[in-house]
Amino acid sequence: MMARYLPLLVVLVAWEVAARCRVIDAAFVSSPSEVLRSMALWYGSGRILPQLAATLGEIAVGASLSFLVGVALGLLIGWYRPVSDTASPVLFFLDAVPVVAIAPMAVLVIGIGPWIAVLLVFLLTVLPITFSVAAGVRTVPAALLRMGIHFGASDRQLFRTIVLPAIAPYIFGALRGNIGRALAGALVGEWLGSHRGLGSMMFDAAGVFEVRSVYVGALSVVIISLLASAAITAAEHRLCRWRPA
Amino acid sequence: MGRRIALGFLGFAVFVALWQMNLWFGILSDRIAAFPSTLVGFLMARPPLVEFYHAMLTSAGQLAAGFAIAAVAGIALGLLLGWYRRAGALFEPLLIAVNAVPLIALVPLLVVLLGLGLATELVVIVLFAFFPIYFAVSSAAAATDPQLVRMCRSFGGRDVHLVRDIVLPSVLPAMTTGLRLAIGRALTGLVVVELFMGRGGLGSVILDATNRGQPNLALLAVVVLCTVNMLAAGSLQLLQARIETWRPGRQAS
Repeated sequence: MMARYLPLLVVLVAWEVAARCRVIDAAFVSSPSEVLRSMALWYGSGRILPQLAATLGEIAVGASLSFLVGVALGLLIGWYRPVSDTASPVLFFLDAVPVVAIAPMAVLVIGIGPWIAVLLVFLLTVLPITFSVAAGVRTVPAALLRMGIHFGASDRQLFRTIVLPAIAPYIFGALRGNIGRALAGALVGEWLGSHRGLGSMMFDAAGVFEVRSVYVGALSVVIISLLASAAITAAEHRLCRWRPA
Repeated sequence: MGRRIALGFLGFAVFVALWQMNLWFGILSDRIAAFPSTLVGFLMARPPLVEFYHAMLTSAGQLAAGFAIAAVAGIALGLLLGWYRRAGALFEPLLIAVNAVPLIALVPLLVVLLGLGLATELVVIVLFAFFPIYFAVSSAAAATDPQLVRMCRSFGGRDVHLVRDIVLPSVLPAMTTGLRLAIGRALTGLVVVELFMGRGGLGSVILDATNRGQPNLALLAVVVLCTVNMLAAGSLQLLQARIETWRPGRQAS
């Protein structure tokens, strides 16, 4: 089990040793111990908390919006064939847009502030959820639906007991894939359109070669994404307990 | 089938018409957002937008080179680490750890470490595009049907046959999917690094045009990037469908 983490450990040790022995310039690449010390300092003094709160808040708002819109759109597209046929080409075109490239224009229209990041989080995460939910709806077993209808189930009951359980794994899959996209959206949004948040902290620091802040930010982002992934997995286990293994 | 295509075209036409109508009914101004007619106007402009075409060429070169490197590295490493379980078990956690880092967070770091140059841009594009290809290929290679492998061996197949006739065909669908995902990621990497460095390419066109108060020119760059993405992904899908016609249980689509 430990052997799996050996290469990672080797890389970290080599990095530390190289920095200590001045093989590499510690001013530019820092070192693991120094990154940890900066982490302890930033978190201990609470200096990073406003940035962290800003980033997490933007992600929460953007991701909630994209969840609502994505699930609704996905249900529409998955359920009604003509809607899917009409909307799919447009959605694929929009999916091909590199969202990051819109950011500068969005700043011009919306202005500086947290909303740029919220917008980018939303735009980056909404289509994956839409596509997943639509794909999930298409896998709903038709026989079960027929049975439900024959037994007099209402639309509400059909949705709650047959459709929702079928699409749940697809939703969780999309959510897991969206973690990285949401973080990327928040970082870029803050870099180009805000003075607050981890993104603006990191990109500003890199501009003046203040490497330590960049590492603290990057490590925080990694920890956020690992925690989010663990939370989604836990939620999935809890909500899908009934599923036979 | 015909109905599907007709509806698809209808949807697209409505989309473009709605977009254009913003201008006709004066909802949005032409100064901020570009409309289909404005974009065509830019492409027809006399004198032509030499700067823009130049930036397009620069970006296209970077993208092609970066994507090619990522594809070769991703496929080769994916096959190696997917096939040789021990090597895979050793190095995969490292790759998963790197992949867990949202790569955008590394862009400022890479620029600081590697400087403001073409090499940095290439590295960023390669990093963005590598992981989808690698993970798709390695998991597919690891999932190669062991029965087929045993059969190939017992019929006296050598490694060449094994790779050519068993491993590659079973990896192919996942590989094209990985490549398709990677195009989008490579484009994002390209834009981010060019926005950050501001040294030529479509990314800096977007930034410059916006700063000069010509956001509609920036939108032209976005549409160009988007078109490249769609064309590349579409042709990959066609290619896959063509190669895959032999596969049983797969209707020609």
